[in-house]
Parts: sequence; C-alpha cells; structure tokens
Amino acid sequence: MTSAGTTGSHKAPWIWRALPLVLAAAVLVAMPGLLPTFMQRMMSKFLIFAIFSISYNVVAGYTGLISLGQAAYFGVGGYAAAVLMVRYGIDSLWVTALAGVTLGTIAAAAVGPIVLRVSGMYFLILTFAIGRLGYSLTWNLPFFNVPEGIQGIAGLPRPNPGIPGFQWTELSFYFFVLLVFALAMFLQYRLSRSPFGHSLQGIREGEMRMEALGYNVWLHKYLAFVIGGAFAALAGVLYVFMNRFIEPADLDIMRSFYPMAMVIIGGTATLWGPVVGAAAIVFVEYFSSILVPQRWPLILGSLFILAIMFARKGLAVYASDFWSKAGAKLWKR
Amino acid sequence: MSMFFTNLVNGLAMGMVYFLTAAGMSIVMGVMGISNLAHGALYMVSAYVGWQVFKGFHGPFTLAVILGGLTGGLLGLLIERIFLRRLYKQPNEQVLLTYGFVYILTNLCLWIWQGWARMPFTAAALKPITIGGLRFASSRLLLIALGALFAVALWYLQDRTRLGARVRAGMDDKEMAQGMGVNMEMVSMLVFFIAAFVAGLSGVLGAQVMGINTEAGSTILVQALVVVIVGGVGSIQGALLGGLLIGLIDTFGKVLFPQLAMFTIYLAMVLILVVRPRGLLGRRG
Amino acid sequence: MKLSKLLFVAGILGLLTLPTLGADPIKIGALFDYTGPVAELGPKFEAGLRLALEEVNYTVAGRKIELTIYDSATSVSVALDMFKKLVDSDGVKIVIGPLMGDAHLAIAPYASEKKILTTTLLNSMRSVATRPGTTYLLYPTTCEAQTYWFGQYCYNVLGHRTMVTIGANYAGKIAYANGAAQGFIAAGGTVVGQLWPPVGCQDYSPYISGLASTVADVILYALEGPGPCSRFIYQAREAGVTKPLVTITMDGDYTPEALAELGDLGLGIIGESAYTWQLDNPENKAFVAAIKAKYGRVPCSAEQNTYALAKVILAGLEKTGGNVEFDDLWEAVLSSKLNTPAGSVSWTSEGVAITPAYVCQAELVNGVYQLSAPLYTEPKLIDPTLPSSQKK
Repeated sequence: MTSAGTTGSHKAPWIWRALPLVLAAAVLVAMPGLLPTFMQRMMSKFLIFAIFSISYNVVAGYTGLISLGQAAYFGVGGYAAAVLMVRYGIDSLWVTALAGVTLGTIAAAAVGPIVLRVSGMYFLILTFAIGRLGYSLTWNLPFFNVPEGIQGIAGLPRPNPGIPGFQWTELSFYFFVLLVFALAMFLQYRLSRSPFGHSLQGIREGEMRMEALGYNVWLHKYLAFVIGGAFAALAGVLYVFMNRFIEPADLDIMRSFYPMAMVIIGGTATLWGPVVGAAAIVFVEYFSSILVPQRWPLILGSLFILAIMFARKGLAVYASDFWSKAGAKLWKR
Repeated sequence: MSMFFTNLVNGLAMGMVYFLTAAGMSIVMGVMGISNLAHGALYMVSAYVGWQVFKGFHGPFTLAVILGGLTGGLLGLLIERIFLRRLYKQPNEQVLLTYGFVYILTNLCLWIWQGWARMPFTAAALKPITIGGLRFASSRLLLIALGALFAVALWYLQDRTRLGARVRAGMDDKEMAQGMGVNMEMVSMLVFFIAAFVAGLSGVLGAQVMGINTEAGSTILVQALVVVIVGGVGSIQGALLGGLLIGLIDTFGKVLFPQLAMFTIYLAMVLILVVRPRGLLGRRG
Repeated sequence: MKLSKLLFVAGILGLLTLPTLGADPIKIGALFDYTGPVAELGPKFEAGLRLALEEVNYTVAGRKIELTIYDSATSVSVALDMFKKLVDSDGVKIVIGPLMGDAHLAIAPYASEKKILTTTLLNSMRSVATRPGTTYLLYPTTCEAQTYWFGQYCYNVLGHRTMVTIGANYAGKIAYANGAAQGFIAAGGTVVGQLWPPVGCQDYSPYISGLASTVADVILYALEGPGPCSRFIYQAREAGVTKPLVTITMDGDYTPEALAELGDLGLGIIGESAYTWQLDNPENKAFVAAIKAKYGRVPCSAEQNTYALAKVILAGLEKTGGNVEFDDLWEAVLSSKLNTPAGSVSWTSEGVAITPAYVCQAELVNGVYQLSAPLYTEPKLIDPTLPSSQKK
C-alpha cells in the first residue's frame, strides 16, 4: 500500500497487493452496522481524526513543515459552522460545511505569510503561538460562547442535508463521514503522486537543491500549508457535526498534538499512515480511559514513547512491509 | 505610584521564574536543535521533590532547592541519554516523545503526591519587607535577586567559559566544531543537564510564589514557549529579556486591562513576532 | 495487520457490550474528574457514592445496581463524550456528575433529548434548571441562591459595610460572587469593586495590589477550586493584605488536605458552606464514622454530596419499585424529603434542591486544622427567582 514496501524479486500478484485495501474498505463499510451506536460514533470520530491527520501529513509529512498549531484551522472550521448555526440560524449542512472549510482555508492563507517567514524550530513555536491566540480569543469573546456561561458553543442542531424527511442516525452520519473520508484519501493520493506533491517531498529532503533547480520553494510551502489548513477545517466541521459542541481547547496545543501523534505513529508521509495512526490513538485512548480512568495518561504516554523508540517508521509501513514479504514468500515457489 | 512599584516587583519576580524556565529550553533548542516539551514537566516534578524534602522530611530550604534542581537535571539527562540522543534532527519525533513524557510525568505526580495543591513552603517569607514606606512580599524580592544571580552565572557560563565557547561554536557549525576536536556529545550532555537542572531550580523557586499543582508543568511550558518566541531561540540574554518582558506585560496587563487578562501576553507575542519573526534577540535558524 | 486490529477491536467491543445475564440491573452512571486541575476531587466523589451504594449492598427495590464511572478529565468535551457513552452504549438512565458547571450547559440539551436524570455535584447555574424540559437535579441549590444569604450575613452579622469581590472569570464563579454581592447590597451594604481574574491564574498579585489599599471592610473571594483559593490567600497575606477575607463554598475548597497545607493562614477566614463534618445530626455522625473507618480522614462536601444524591436517587427508585423511566423517577425524587448528613433535602418543581446552609471557619484543634462546627445555620435555601418560588 505504501511506497516503503521492499518486495524483492518475487512480486506477489496484484490481487494479493490489493487485498488489504479491499479488506479495509469492506470492514469500514460493513462493520459499523453491526456495532452499538456509541461505537458507530467512535468510528466516525476515528475517520474525522484520520482526515485531520491527513492535514498534518500534507504539511509536516510531505513538506516537512513541523507545525504545532494545526488545530487552529480545525477550530476555525468548526467554530465557523457552529457560529452559523447558533448565531445566524443556518443549519444547512452544505452551507455550514462550505463556510467552515472556506474560512479555515482563508485563515491558513492569512497565517501562512507570517509563519513561513521562518523555518525549523521557529516555525514550530510560531504555529503554536497562533493556535494559542485563537484559544484565548474564542475563550474571551462572548460572540463565541453560547449559551451564556459556557466557554464554547453547545447544544448545536444536527446539520440539515436538505433531503425531505431525512433523519440522521449515528450510522447514516458515519457513512456520510466515510464518504468524505474516501474523498479526502483520494485527494491525498492524487496530491502525493502529482508533480506538485513530488516537489513538496523534494523540498522536505533538500530545500537548497530545489531552490537551485529553480523551484519557487516559498510558494510550494505556502500552498501546502493552505491545503493542510483546508483538510484541517474539513475535519473541524465534521467534528462539530458529530459532537454538536466545540470549545476553545479545540484550537489549542493539545488538539494540535493529536494529528501529529497519529501521523508519526501511523507512518509519516505515507498514504495510510494517518488512518492507521488515527485508529491506534482514538481507540487506545478510548479503551484505556474506560478501563483505567485514573491512569490512562500513563498508557497513552507510553504508547507515544514505544512507538517512537521501536516503530519509528510507523505502523502502516511495518504492516505493508509484512504483507509484501509474506506475498513474496508465498509466490516464491 | 506605590501600585506601580508593587507591581514592578510582582512582574519582575514572575519574569525571573519564566526566565529560569525558558533559559534552558531556549539553549537546548538553539544548541542541540531539540524541542523538549517535557521541560515544564521537569519543573513540576522538581517542585514536588522540593516540597517533599522541605515539608515531608523537614530538610532545610537550600537542600530542597538543590535536590529539586538535581532531580530535574538527572531526569532530563536520563531522557536525553536513553531517548532523545537517538532522535537528533528529528523534530517531529522529539515533540511526540517528550509530549509522551508530559503525559506520564503529570500522571505520576498525581499518583505520588495526589491532586491537592501545595502552598509555597517558605514560611519565613511571609513577613513583608518595607522599603521606603512600601511593603513588598519578601519571597518575590528574593526571587528577583536569585534570578539576577543565575542570569549572571548563566551568562558567564555562556560567554566567558570554554564550555560556553564550545556551545557557541557548536551552534554556529556543529561539523566544524567537531572537526576542531570538540567533543560535541559531551557538550550536549552537559548543556542538557544544566538546562534541566535550572528548570528544576526554577520549579522549587517558582513554587514559593505560585505553589504547586499537577497542571503547573503544562502552564509553565506554555509560558516558557511564549518567552522563547519573544526573546528568541538560543541565548541567555534572549530568555532573560523575554522572561522579564512577559512577566511585566502579564502583570501590568492584569492591572490596566483586566478584561484582556488572558490575552495580553499572546497579543504582545504576536505583535513582536510580526515585527521580528525570530524574536527580539533571536539568531538565524 | 489492519484487519486483525479491527477484528480485535470488534472483539473487545463485543465483550464490553455483552448483555449481562439474569434480572436486569439498574444502571447508574457517574462522571468524576480523575485527571486535570481538580483531579483530587474525583476519588472523593466516588467514595461518597460507593458508600451510599454499599450501605444498600448495591440493591434497590429487589434489583441489583450496576455502577459505571468514567473520567471526565476536567474537560467539557470529554464530559459530553462520556455522558453520551453512558447513555448510548451503557444504557444508563441516571447520571451523577460531572463537577464543572459549564459542562452541564453542554450536557443539558442532550440529557433532555434522551430523558436522562442528571445531577450536578456542587451547584450549577440557575439556567440549567429553568430551561424547558430540564432533567436536572441541582444540588445543593443554584450558584446564585447558595451565596445570596451569605452576602446578607456579612452585613447583618459580621457588621461589614463595604465589600470588594474577586471571582474567577467564568459563569459559575461569577454567579457565586454576584449572588453574594447582591445579598450584601440588599442588606444595605456597598460593593466598591469587583475583580475577575482569569481561570487558571497562577499569580493574583496584580489584583492583590489593588486590594492592599482598598477602602472595603471585607474581601470576598470565589475562585475555581481548593488550589486557586489557597494560592490567593497565601499571595494576599504575603503582600501584607490584612483585611478580613470571606469566601463561599468553603466546604468544597477547604478540604482536609488544603487546610493542612494552609496551616495558620486559613484561620480567621469565614465562609459559606453547604456542609461541615462537624454537623450534629445522627445521619452525619454515622456518615463521618464510615468515611473515617474506610479512608482514615474526615469527609468534606465532595463525599457528602454524592452520598446525599445517591440516597435521594435510591429513595426515588424505592418509591417507583425500581422503575428508572424518567417521568416516574423524576416525580418520585421531587416529592421526596430526606435527612442527609448535610441536613434535610427536598426539591422545587424545577429540580433544585432545598437544603440548609451554614457559616463555618477553619480552626486548629489538637494540632489538626479542620473545618469548624456551624457558627450559624440558614435553615432553608430556596432560590427566590425560580418560577416555583414566584408563584407562592
């Protein structure tokens, strides 16, 4: 599934190589129907965070811009949709989603020129600073706090898709998220295989070389940053649709940290890394907080450290290597 | 006018805590290229250890400060030697790993010391000192004095010693420094230890003003990051300037614009970085 | 790899959601904070709840009680998420907690939609109770009513004439501080200033610099938990503020641990309390003895509140014969009148508790810092602005 597979001379037939994809798709489509409703919501959460992780994968994975503030655009997207609902009474799924993604993208486009004046460590802390500013803004301005007395926007309606007689269930919402997720995966695939995507990876590997080759490095980075912002905003909108609540913490460092952890644990700059990482973290956090409510941070923290020390390439990469090797062995005879 | 001097002392004292915490973080970022998000957690663990020594074992305050500092230093060194050493030039991984330690250390502190907040434990500091008819909290005056002392010591270490020269050389060009026979591995170890040690000291000292709780690590981490942004990565002077500036802006912001209390330092931070994206005294990098 | 992982997850899910065999137990859910800034209170809330359930051997009206507790992590998002999990996945019809007042504003719409009987742990804003279709039990009362009478007490009994308030800048503490301020004004006093430091404020000294020279007779503080309260007291005394301090929800903030840390600094501060372990009634004597025997400490309001709430709910369930359907249970609970360790409790038609309140202070007895017996008892707190009070 990923480019990291080392297959050797014996290549398994395409059907073997396509099997994981088919199985994953089958599981994502067929399994949730068998799950209790709350687990259907957890599946939606997992896919939403997978989309959020794609955002980080584009910015940090492919382009090498280590951002500690990806949640800012997640939050702008989410708040935009939420504000439209509670302040302006617009509950149309299409209008709120479009507005959320557009505003999130605009926010990234506006912040880009500020943070891209620097690189490396400075980029890291500057992106953090922007997220922190958003956090304190949404905390303090009454416009962003509904009902009065809460920091955040609560009691949001379900988005209205404009289909007469349609009623959301956890399952139908899941399939909606799955559809958006599939689209996001397709876009990530196209992006990573496009000449533009290749240039981004070139910049990650050697900025000077690309500059010397005549590439407009700044513009490439800027576009990657804006595209990342759009993916994050999309995830933020879906998150608000699911949770029907958003709060200032959704723009802050803790929230930014999730896609970062997911991408690294899943596999940086790989197509499936964000997905595998999102699954790992969403479900480990969920089960550990239920099984050991007082000690779950120990489990999550250890997961991060173990993943870094012993599975640095990312779970998706190991899985795909394993699959290719098994295939190569099977077809050796 | 008395309000002004009182708050000048308040702001400078907080600024010194921010400076001591941010100094190590800034140097480690600049010299070793490591983003250590567990820096605030080291501050917190050390503060608890200091409390344990002073209140739990009835040890003297100096011992509490020293053992607190050593705890931070050794814990930091352990993280560097076992984990971070393998992650040079991998900022993504450094951030995730050190954040993992934030989760773990925070929860361990909660486990060992329970959640209840600890008060500043230097009872002697309770009697305010009167200077020129104005009353000042003695712990804050002490903090300013100690902060200034450490600022001079750290500056001396950075600018006037062989270690400092090697650090500066390593910062400019690691390969060349190594070529000239500087043992960068050793320099890195020392720098990391000193940085974590100072964070530990500032934990015990900061606790004399703010007390200790299990959120202290995350709170001070955010403040330290802001200080590094404002002051610039990689220098003691930058951390000092940034720390004092943030301490004063925060304090006077709360006095003059109480509605924006949560907000003023971030506003100031964004304004500064729009003008100087590498901070007030930042080096290129 | 991916498939096996998913199958593994699915397997765990299957196990977790396996229906329990035998007679249907009554499922009660609880959300307490075990991590985050008020993590110290989670285990205390749990202790009180468990004690009440152990006393009836986890059985009511001939049915077993199944208790599910999750960590709300001092986060509104997590609290809302876990509330949904309790309701949707665990099939809970009764939820106790969480603590944060603003979490209830986020949870209330969902609780109404699903008709879940939900309780606060330590007051909440009046608006939670007055929203249409409320399913909330507000205990011990609303934030506003909790402190109004204490403002009057400050004027009438303590003899203060001017007051300055310092309250954490969020809805719950603003309501507490304003409640006290309005009571003080109603009694004839003047509020000369109100300060609102942000939540999580580590250094109150800029606010304190204004208090040092205040003309007010008394300073009332309402901050977001034991830690911030103690920090404020220390920083104020350190800066040489000698004016008398008064506070609200003293029983919640002056936990035995916080009092021990404060030492002499805590002495002399007078505060409003919904409970003190020194109350002289048979229910409380037994309760304090049980907590002491089990945990080796005296209880504070955290243990008492969940204990009393559990008693109320158990009484309601007894009355409905174990029927957990909201309409029946709501009716049964609101018509109940019980004696709890904190005193009698009955309910308004909005689901706001009617409880007594007390004035306490910290005292040093045999080398132990502890909360005193009541200096004064306000027999019944009823929020006068509730629709049900207006009708009368």
